[in-house]
Amino acid sequence: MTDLLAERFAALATPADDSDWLDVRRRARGRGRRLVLPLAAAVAVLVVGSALALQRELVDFLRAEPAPERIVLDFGRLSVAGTGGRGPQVLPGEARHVAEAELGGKRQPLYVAPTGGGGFCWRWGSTGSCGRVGRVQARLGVTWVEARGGAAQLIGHLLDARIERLELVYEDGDRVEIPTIWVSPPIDAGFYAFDVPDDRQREGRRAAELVALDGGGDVLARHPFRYSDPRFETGPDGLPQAADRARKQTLFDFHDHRGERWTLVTAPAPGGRLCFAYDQGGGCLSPRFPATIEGMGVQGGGPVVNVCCAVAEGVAAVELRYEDGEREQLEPVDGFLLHVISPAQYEIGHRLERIAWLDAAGGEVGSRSVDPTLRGVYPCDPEDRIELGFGETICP
Amino acid sequence: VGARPEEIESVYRARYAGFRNTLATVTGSYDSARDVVQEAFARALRERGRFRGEAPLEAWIFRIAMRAALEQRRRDRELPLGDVLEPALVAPQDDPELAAAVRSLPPRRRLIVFLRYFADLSYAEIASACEVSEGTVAASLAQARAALLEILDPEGARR
Repeated sequence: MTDLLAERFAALATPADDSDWLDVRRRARGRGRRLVLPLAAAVAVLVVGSALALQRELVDFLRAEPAPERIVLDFGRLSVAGTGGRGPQVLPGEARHVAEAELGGKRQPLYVAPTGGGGFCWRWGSTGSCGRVGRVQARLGVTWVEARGGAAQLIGHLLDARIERLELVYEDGDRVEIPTIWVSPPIDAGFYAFDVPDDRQREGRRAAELVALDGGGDVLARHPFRYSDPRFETGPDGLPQAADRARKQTLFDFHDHRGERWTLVTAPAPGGRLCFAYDQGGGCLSPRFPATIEGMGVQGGGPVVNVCCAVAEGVAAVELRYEDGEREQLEPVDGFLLHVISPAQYEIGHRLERIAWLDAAGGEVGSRSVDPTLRGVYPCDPEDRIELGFGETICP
Repeated sequence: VGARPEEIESVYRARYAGFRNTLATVTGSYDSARDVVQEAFARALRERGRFRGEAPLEAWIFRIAMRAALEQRRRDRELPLGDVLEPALVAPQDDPELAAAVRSLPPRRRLIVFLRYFADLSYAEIASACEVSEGTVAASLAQARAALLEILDPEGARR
């Protein structure tokens, strides 16, 4: 009897979680009070200067509405978890809601947060990225979603204040200007978001390139769109559709220490390609992009760590050298290798520290160091996980 | 006595949705109820030194929220201060039968029902929030349940 009422009331209650404890704290401190960055005084002057000089829409970051708590937490997680605590060091508490745009038929807010190193990270809808956080500083940052064979949604940032216009050029030569919005220091960047019309996603009419121009019409940056060849989209077996499955070969098929099965298969594909697939990915070698020395990777982050895949021509063995002096020599099969590292080598002090490629005479033809201190690669017990903050943890 | 900020935050984390859903029956929308809940917890933080520990913290904060909801309703609808509290389901069209059954209850009893079913408060917390005895809460809920089930499930109610 009671359940009937509980169920009917529960069905009427909105389950949406729009709680925001930071907003409560801000209200408790007093309405209108803003978080203040150390740069506030200097920034105010710069904002006025920029606005007068460029005559374009400029959002004063310091006056923008603080982001809700869930966004602050998202930025926090991005900062601490993205690269095992070595991420862009976002200042999540300084995240602001700076603009909104119609994306995918919905109003989507743009949130931006500065980083400790003078850069910023942003999130718009389900997309996000960072600017001025690495050594490479592209003037035109582009993230795009491909649908039906064409670019369907373009979102990104602009780092060059000289950019006055952003134009999308279609394959048939038509052009359309994409509105931009600029955010004052400490962000000091422009942002844009654009839904490409449905009838602009067919070959011949698709987006061809995005061009950033200065006030005089000179191109400052361009981003060409390179569409994936549907023939090379992967099938359920991990190999591209175009691979000749009649000539598929299984080069590795074994069980690891947990009893989990690992396989690596290869198959030729058009253009002289040799494609491969294994449990954690795949790819294709081609005459233009053959396997190279040092091209093999170490994959971790899960319950096991493996070494894979293509081995350069002329390599007869791959030697794994561990911190404790242990060495393992592995023989490639038809130019490929797949190996799961033993759990005995997962502890700090025993981990893989170098991969060496040997020729038939045992001579070293190349080697590469592997950082054994990189966190998040090797598995660990739950109690050994390191707290990164914002509820994120990582294995040492 | 006073309440510590982390205790208030803990109540917020546990009760936010329930408070919002309950107060929406007073303010008329989830948006306005959200604003009321945010404001109520902000007030609770500012005035936490006034919490005497004589009632559960949830109930003390809910009373603040209720005052804020009534203030907002008066402001939005320009109702006189003596306006009678008339909580109602926010989206009656989603369950017209339940909405009609709820409307048949006296306003005070409706609020107790909403506190029980939307905010998931205990009898003691509801008693403190509504400034009545636990016995009154128990009796009100029993009578409300009987009345609602008589309309919604007459066969079951008589079994």
